[in-house]
Amino acid sequence: MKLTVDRRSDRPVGRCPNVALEEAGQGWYARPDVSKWVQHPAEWRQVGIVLVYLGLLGSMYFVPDCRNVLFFAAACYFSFLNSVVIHNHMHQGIFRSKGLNKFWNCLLSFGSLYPASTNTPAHNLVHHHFSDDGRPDWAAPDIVYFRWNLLNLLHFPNVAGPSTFNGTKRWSALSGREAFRRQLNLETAFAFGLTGLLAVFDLWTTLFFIVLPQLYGARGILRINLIQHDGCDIHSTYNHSRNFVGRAFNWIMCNNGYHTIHHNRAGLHWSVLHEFHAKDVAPKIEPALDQPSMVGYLLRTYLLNLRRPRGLLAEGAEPDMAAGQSVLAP
Amino acid sequence: MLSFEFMGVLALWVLWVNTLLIAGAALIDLRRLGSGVRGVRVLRGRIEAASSEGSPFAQLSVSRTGRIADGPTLSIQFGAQKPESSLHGGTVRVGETAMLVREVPCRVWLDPEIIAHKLAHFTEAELPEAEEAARKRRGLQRTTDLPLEVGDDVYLAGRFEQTESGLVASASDNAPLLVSTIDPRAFIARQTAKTVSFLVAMVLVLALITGLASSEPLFGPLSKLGGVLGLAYFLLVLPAATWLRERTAAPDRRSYFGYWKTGRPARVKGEPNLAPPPVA
Repeated sequence: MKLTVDRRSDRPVGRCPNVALEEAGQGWYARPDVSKWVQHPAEWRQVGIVLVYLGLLGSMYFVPDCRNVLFFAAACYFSFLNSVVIHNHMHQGIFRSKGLNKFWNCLLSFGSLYPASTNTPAHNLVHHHFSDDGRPDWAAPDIVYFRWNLLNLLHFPNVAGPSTFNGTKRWSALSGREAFRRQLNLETAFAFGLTGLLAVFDLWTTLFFIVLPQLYGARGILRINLIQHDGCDIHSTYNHSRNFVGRAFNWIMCNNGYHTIHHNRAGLHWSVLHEFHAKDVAPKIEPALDQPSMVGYLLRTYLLNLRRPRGLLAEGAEPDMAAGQSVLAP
Repeated sequence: MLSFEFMGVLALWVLWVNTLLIAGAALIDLRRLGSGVRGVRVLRGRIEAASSEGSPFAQLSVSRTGRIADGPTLSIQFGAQKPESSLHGGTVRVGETAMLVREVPCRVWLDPEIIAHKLAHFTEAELPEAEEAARKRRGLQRTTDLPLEVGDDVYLAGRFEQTESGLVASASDNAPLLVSTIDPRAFIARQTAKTVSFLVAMVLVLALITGLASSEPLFGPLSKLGGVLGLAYFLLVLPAATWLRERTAAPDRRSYFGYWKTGRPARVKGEPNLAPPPVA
């Protein structure tokens, strides 16, 4: 494996260790230098996902025959995957070129109709610490408290979305964030500008076959916060997150099912999360937090079970009073 | 093929479901707001004595972190935790009766506008040190205590029992004792009026949009206007509902953000702080 060497430290550099390399004491620094375009060969999977998604949107916009259930459902699902790519990309830029990464941000922002850079304060800085200067996470599960649990899943983005944008606005107003604000404005202008331009030429097709999938993905990624953390113990080292460990699921989700290890070691590249989950997390986590199937979990928790899993947000408790209580299994 | 008619119904259904979810959540918030007051007695009195020397009768503490905000003038932006209530207890005179208030679980309410005003207040003397701290990674850590002192008029909502030692106030079974400088029933009534007005307006606006979007000829100019307004409604109603939620929350459940605005020119990064040291 060819390694890139940092000129100043004369050490191999990179951000994609694997278990074997780490055990050999060099995991943090090894990076396969195989492409002049992307940071890691696995990134092509993410590029492919986004291109398929944009292809689906383009097909429905330009080809009336493609406006069918199959294309629409696929576009909604790939819009969600587009948001997953935003998540991964904002942790570790896909491309080697800074300019290309910034352009990619814009393209991803169009895909989900929100500026991708919002993830930096909202997810990387606040969510990963579960709090903002002692204030709860902007997307903490306890911001919703319907008794019928399905309504919590449906309503969650209605609260988490605006809280996230308000928080981002406050964060970006601080000194030293000029470059961030510029990029955020650029992404917002690109996302809404391109969507608006499409609407000028064909309003209804844009609203129904572009905007609806865009919003589905944006709201879906917010819901993941609820799905992966509701009922967990955010103060625990391992039991703060729920994982979905299906292999096929994690292939298409770019390993976003392994959430505990992602929180504990945010610097790990997404392509190796399964290895580190098996090594570091699986032996120590409450087994109920390793769910084999997200679909199964969603069905059990939100459709077949009317009430929220017991414990957290017990009836009458204020949301912030309930924080820290742990219920591990639905 | 997914027809425009089908997709139009789907889009309107999404709008209505979200609107009803927002309305449902707002009504739950209202119910929670009134939970400590509904069904319990509310007495008005004046704090006569605090149980321990040097301690206030009760207080609301707001802890915030300040950081330097961007702009031509120096200002410190604060992010806030939820306030914390504490009750040290003492005696409250209610009419002719002296009522004993013990140290029990409590909630302290003050007028939110007065809280915001007090939090925005700073002195010139504390500014240089505050600015230095706000420039650091940890930020300016500041806790402001808003005490309820002897002589203040208060409302108490909870359980009141006649014992051998006289009238005693304590928490009810379901809620902490509420100690408030504002009439809690009037406060809740105002927030209820605001919320209900918002919800009615929200439903009316969506009904208007639904009417426009489904007006004949379908997908014609009026219908298009309805479609555009529908998207605008969806993008705007969520922040509006969040704003309402913050504005109608109980005074001890709000997040008090805000700024210290000094009016002085902002210091360029790396430039030494030439402001005079704080006056002892």
